[in-house]
Amino acid sequence: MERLLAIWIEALGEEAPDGSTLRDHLALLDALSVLCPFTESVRLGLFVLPIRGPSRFFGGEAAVMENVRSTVVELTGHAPSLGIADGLFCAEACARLGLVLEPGATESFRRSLPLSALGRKDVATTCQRLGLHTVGSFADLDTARVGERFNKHALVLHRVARGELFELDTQRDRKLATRLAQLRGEDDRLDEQMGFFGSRGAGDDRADAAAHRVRRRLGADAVVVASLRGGRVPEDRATLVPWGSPKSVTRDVAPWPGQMRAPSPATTLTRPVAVQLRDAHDHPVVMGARGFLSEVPTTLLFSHQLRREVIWYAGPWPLVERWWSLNRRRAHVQILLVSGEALLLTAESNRWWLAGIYD
Amino acid sequence: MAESAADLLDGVDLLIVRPPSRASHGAARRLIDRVRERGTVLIVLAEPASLWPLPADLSFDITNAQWATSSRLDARYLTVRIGGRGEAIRAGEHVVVLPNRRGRCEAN
Repeated sequence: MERLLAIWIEALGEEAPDGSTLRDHLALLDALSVLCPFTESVRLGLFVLPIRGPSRFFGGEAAVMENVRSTVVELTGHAPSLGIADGLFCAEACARLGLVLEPGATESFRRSLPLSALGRKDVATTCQRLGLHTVGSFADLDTARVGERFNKHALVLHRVARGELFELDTQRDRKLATRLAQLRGEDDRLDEQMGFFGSRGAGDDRADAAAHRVRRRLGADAVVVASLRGGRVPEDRATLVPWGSPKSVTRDVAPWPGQMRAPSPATTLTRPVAVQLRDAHDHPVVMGARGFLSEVPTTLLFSHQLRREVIWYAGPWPLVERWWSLNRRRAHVQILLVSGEALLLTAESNRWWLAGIYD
Repeated sequence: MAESAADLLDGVDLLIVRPPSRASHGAARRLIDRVRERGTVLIVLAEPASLWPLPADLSFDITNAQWATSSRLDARYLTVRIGGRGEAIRAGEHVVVLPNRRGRCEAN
């Protein structure tokens, strides 16, 4: 389990009526993300970040904690309580106690916690009557007995107690991330719908009205908006999104190694069609381990015995994706048919698929 | 389909339709009337041309398509024959590059 630094700021645990709590959270999240980009705001007053990466960067866990502490004090004026352990459940418990556990000490720490740490009064009271006072003694109960005696929530607690789960449902505030995004103005669900052609113009109202009428007539997904996004293969790049669905704000401009260069096939097949490539002797053409074709392809064969003569081919271009998986070696080949049509084929473990048509 | 196309003509200035089968004369007539009324442009992708029953003001027919290749597909040269009924038609054949090396359209 991941070693986590939990940051507990008691003063931010309750929401102030003036909305300052959320603003403080946002400022803190931004500042802490500079220290570690994976910082998470788990719920009000509680932040957590994986400590391994930052501690290598800052030169030790103590240095990271010092940085975090001064950042929090500077921004909010409150001193945080810090704790390090494996998994969110123990990390929070440590933060409340101000403890840093040695690697490997999480197990015994968890077992020593009082039952109230699991946050369910009914379970804690019943167990105390049975003479069980610590998380460890609860963990030692047989799972079947726990299921008999308590409800299914207790089974989750039992798994947390045994160290099979690393956090309680009650630890996370699932709405907090959305609220922070709204405060930041990133969540566009509340924003005005974007126009068909980017920013909104006068004509968009007319277009909207027409699109609404068509949608009423033909169904919710009848009106779609085409867009391009990042991806290596053409079928990943072109997408049709139902009109009116939330639009992703980020424009993907990242480079994609192995991406096919323009021109791109105008038609891509969402379900690739299996085809065969044959050489002049009607033997199947296969792609070797080193990314070469075994022979020059001369015939394209569709499953229903439809044959087309291949007059030219280019490639194969390997797709550098999931290179760590040996079963996932794919390559693209362009071919020209005698009829003048250009096709994009994908080779995957000696099988060929029609991936796109340059029509 | 024809009703949806008519709805869309109210909303946009340029509409591209592809009739899945031969459009009925009446439906095509009504669409064209709507186009005249609204001052919009209707582009019909009809292959074969008989899918659209009415004569067009301007027609583009691809008479030849040739891919230029190097180590990959480079560009496609389309010979387009332009015809129609208006006065401003520069009838004849033109070569258009679509797509060119950058995936765009180019006329020379």
